[in-house]
Amino acid sequence: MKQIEFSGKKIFFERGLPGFEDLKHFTISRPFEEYPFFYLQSNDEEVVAFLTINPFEITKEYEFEISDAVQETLEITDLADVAVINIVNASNGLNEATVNLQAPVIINTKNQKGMQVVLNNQSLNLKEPLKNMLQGTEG
Amino acid sequence: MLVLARKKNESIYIGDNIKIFILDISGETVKIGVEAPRNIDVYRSEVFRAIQQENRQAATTKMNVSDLANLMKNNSPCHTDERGPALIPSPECS
Repeated sequence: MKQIEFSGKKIFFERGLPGFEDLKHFTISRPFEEYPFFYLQSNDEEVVAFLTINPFEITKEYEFEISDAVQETLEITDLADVAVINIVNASNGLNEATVNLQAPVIINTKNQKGMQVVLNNQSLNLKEPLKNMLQGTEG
Repeated sequence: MLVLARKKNESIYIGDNIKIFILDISGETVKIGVEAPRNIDVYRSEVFRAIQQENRQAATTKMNVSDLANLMKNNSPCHTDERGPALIPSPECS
């Protein structure tokens, strides 16, 4: 799995993101080198930005399969080119923030195409408390 | 919307490579089988709606960069516990 070293890069989401299907161009940036957070900022709509996290920098418990459909859509030829970030919902404040583990954002770092993938694995939480992940106490 | 009545064990085609089977009907629950090419994703629509909803909530949040730093400091144990070294030691730990 690719370390995300592409801060400032533009990512193209052919289908947008669920709920934002018309927004196809985003820029990813890392505000702190030492922390696993990334901003995913829409280039089409300035007010739309997501706080995201690289799950693999904070947990070893998270795993899923990238389907053939996704690999085809993103033209993934080598899984080593894949980067994963998960959207953080901090609408109730950072202390109550949750991480969407059910629908990770998958990025092919080779061609900078991305998509948010809805996983059918029902054991993955739509709202995993961020604090649990940071403290390594997620269920 | 096209509406079709089907009985148990009947099926329909969508195009020439997606086949939907009615496997079982029991009370209010219909068990459906989907045969589709591997490059077609199939998922429950309420799951997709929940993710749209989650994204809309997540996107409206204005994030303060210094709050993020504080969150990390407050939740990154510097000490080593039974799980081994902290995965993300805060900068001042090192």
